[in-house]
Amino acid sequence: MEAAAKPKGNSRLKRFVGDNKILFIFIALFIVMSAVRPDAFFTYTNLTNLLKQIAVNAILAVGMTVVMTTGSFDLSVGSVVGVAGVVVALSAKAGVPGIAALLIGVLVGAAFGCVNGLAIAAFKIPSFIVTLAMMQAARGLSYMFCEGFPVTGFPKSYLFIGQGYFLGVPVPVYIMAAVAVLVAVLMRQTKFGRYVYFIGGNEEAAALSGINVFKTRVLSHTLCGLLAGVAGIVLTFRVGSAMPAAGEGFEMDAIAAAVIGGCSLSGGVSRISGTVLGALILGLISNGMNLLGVTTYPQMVIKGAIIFVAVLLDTRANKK
Amino acid sequence: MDDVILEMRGISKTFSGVYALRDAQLTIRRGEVHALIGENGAGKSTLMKIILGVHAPDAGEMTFKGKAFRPQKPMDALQAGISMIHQEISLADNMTVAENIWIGREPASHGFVNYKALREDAAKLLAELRIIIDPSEKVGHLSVAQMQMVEIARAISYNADLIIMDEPTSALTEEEVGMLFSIIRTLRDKGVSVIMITHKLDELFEISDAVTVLRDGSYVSAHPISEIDEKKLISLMVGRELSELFPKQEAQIGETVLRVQGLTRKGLFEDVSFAVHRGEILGVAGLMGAGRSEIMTALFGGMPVDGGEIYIDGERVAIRNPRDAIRHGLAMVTEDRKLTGLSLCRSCKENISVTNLKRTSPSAFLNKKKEMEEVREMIHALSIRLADPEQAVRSLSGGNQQKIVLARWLLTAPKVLILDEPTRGIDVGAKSEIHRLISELACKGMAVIMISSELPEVLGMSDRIMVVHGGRVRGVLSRAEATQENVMALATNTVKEGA
Repeated sequence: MEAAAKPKGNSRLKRFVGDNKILFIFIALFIVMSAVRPDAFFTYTNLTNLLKQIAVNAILAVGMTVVMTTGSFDLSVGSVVGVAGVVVALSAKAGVPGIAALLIGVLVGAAFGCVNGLAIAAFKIPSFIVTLAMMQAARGLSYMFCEGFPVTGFPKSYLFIGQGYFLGVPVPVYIMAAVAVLVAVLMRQTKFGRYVYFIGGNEEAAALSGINVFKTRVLSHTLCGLLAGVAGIVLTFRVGSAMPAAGEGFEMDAIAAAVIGGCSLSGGVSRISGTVLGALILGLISNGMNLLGVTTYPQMVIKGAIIFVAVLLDTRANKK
Repeated sequence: MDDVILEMRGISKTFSGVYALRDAQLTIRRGEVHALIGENGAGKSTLMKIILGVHAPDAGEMTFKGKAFRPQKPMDALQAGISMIHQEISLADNMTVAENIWIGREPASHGFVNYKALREDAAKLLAELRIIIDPSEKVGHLSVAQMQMVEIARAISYNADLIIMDEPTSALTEEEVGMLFSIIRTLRDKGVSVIMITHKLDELFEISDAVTVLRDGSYVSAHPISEIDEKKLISLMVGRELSELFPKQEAQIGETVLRVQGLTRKGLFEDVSFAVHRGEILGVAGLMGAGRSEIMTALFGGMPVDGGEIYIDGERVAIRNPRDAIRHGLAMVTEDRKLTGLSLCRSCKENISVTNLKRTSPSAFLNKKKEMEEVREMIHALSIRLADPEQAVRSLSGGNQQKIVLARWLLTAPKVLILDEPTRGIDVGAKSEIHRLISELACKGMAVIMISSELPEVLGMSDRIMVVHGGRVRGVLSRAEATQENVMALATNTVKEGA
């Protein structure tokens, strides 16, 4: 016991590095970019832009991390971004007062997530299938609500949410930070968070240990949907209009960020800070490649390779 | 027909230092049905896995058809002429009988399957075995017995000279058993040898020509069936002295805490009634698949029931899920800690505290200080050996993992503690620690239900022993009445009425 109880200083450092691999990768990438293009990369404009651009993905990825921690997926978040954006824009255009319109958007997202969670938990259908169906359905509703046309013409004051700055930092960044901090607290400091992790590690043991697996699952999916609603709002007011096709493919970026950030594909292991770093790394890579003159198509190939490596590392860690 | 087809001598196999087989032997003659019996853990499956090439023996000789035989993988055994029919059916439901039989070896030309030949070959094979099943039928539409026959046909289709059957009758009705046995006799007449692992002594006497008894991984003896009777067999199976000391202390047995009346789940167990008292350890004995774990899981709300009543402290309670059970003071350490006990990638702390968070943290937020205090207390009380409560529970040894599960449930201060195989797969030291702990808990007035497949453990620890066979309670023995022979007789259901 004594021998095992005292990790040597050396191994403690190793563990710190091992636990925070993703942070060091981020720092390394950041330093490299700063060194290669100090003129274009390490500037206030570029960095604030970078943060603004990753905000939507980071918000989605945080929600995705919660459901992935339970061992689920949510493929419908991209579509929910679209439908929530359309609903908020329509509400705002129809004169629903400020906060209420936003609340509607958030609730729409939560409703979609809740339905996902109920279907998964009640019928024990794999989340992959349920949310794939929801991805189609939500996209269809998004087109139906706006009859296929982008929604514009809402009061300009809303644009502050997507385009405004406060103390020199873009507003979406504050929203992203608030989401990340709140969910991190939820995951680390509450019973709900504990249950989420425990279920992801072993669902049957969780049920036999007295955890209400049904409730936890429904709540985690509801939260993921809710955050997709938030992301939809941010995206709509950043772009300045609600497009029915908005958010297509966002679910994959969210999963990628979560996995790069150390979220296990089989559940039970994740960190919200890791996921945010994952989103930052993805953003940093596209930003960096843009600055280095790499065009869009090779960028996709490189991103694909990065995701593959992250998944490979996850699989190898699980086998141990 | 006296020539030997398979000969195994001096076979030993250890798994991480523990002997699964020690100097085991087995001799199978051509065209005989050879029963292999022994208690759970006697080494039957390990021996079969060695024949199939799943495991390599550490020592020993094996000859098959007169030649040295060292299979490296199941395919080697199959090609040599050995097939195994597992307890679980391994057929594809959505394919036809013929497709299942020839799977992977379909008659084909130019890469296209010749379905006509496929059907005809299957029909011919089935006819030879006198199995009456339409080869074009989808396997999903067959009965379990018919599926088993398809498995036998498939085994034969590899030109097997030796077929191993692992408890082939466990899912069959009496009539179906008769059909199976007539097919086995057909096989025997064709010169095929059959090794049959079984727990059912009556069937053993009906079908087999010879029997080999294993105990604790060692060979006990082999006999032609005509030279042995049930009583002798049972004593050979269990015939060991209670050499290990069980630290069972006499506890004050008090009033009834839990009473179960007529608990039934169709197909698994029926009309199960029993009671446990304060300070009592109720042992639950029976063979694998007797329904012991299912009964306890259902009692704990882990599985729905079709009927039955549960009373705690004399009051009828409804238990629909484990949360209800926990609220009423039940706790259950499940049979397989990795499968149903622990969240392996999470920490020791989290695995201990999970069931107790509602109590330690009344609000949504965790009271981490209180949680850690309790966790440390339990780690100390059960002397769980770990470096850090935050380390992943999967990094602990089996015995310490089991203590983590125990710690979780003891923190709930249960009235009734259900233990399903509490010492399976853990080393001797941890085992006796857990035994001592169970005894202490009983002395403090806890009612304990302990399922165990190890007879010495049940006999050594229990105040009373409930024996289950075929999903029914066959008898409850007091400590004084319980002997290995008595328990085994009830567990194999060989007690004749009035005997």
